[in-house]
Amino acid sequence: MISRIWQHRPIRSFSTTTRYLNEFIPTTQEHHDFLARNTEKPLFSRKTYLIDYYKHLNDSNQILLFLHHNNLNKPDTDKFRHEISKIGGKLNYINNSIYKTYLKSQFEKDPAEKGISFKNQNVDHPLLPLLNGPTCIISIKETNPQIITSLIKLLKSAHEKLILIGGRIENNIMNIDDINKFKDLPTKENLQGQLLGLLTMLSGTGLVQTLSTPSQMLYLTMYQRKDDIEKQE
Amino acid sequence: MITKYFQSVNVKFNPFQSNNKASRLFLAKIPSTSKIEYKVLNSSDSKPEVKVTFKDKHSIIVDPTNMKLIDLEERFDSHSRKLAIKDAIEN
Repeated sequence: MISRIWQHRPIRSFSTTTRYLNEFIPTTQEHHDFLARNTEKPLFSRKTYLIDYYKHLNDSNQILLFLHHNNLNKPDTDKFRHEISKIGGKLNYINNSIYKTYLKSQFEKDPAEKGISFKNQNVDHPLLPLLNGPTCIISIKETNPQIITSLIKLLKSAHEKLILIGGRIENNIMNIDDINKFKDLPTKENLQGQLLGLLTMLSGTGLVQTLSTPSQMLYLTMYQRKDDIEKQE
Repeated sequence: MITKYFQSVNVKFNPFQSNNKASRLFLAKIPSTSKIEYKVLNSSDSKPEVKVTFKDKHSIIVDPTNMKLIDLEERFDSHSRKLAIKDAIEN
């Protein structure tokens, strides 16, 4: 008798603990906000995670370089990842369709929200054509042309395995020529330093004079007028 | 696609053109046993092009604009099949 019951009940039903699909217990306000999101795909799905991750990559990096990758095997990938991270960047293979979905709803508050991808399905973005075929991204935190110079040197050694095809530097979309021009520029801090140097040099004479001319002119005109009025009286 | 008889492959593509998908996918399908050359074009530059030189020195040049990957593969397979038959007869 007992053996017959054993046969017909699944083993799981003898378990005394309850199983949750997701054992995420919110503790902070941020967690509660996260759980309250109404996303297009399930909240804990890979697709939602990737859209969030691409948003993070776009928002926290000033330079994004797009590359075409060819026949990269695991050891090569590891090697390039290591070299790139030494220079100061990060290599990510991207999922084109999800990245496209993200780019189309880039300016929404939550690109993964329900209905947003449908609403923006016809939006155009200049980076969309770069996402045909195998693509990866190198993200760089700060705008520094020197990092790009050393990256391009590294990519030359990769031959046809990693091909630079374009990029986004701050808010500008750049093609190869633009990137090549950009890499020869001095750094932002350097330029700011030069400007500051010029200003301090000029502060004694020229600049102060130039800045004070309009008010001086006004003073002189008014003074003349005062004289004229006094004479008439 | 039969890539066995490819000696060198030369792909020119413009990444900012929306119809570059076929050439990029083609480039990714070529094994590293054949010599791969590429050129990234800018909008002002010349037209996109896919050129394959086979082991019998025959070369085919194709304009991949408005072509799908399958069409591209068909074009090159037509010559590869000839070489495959020749190979089979000789050996």
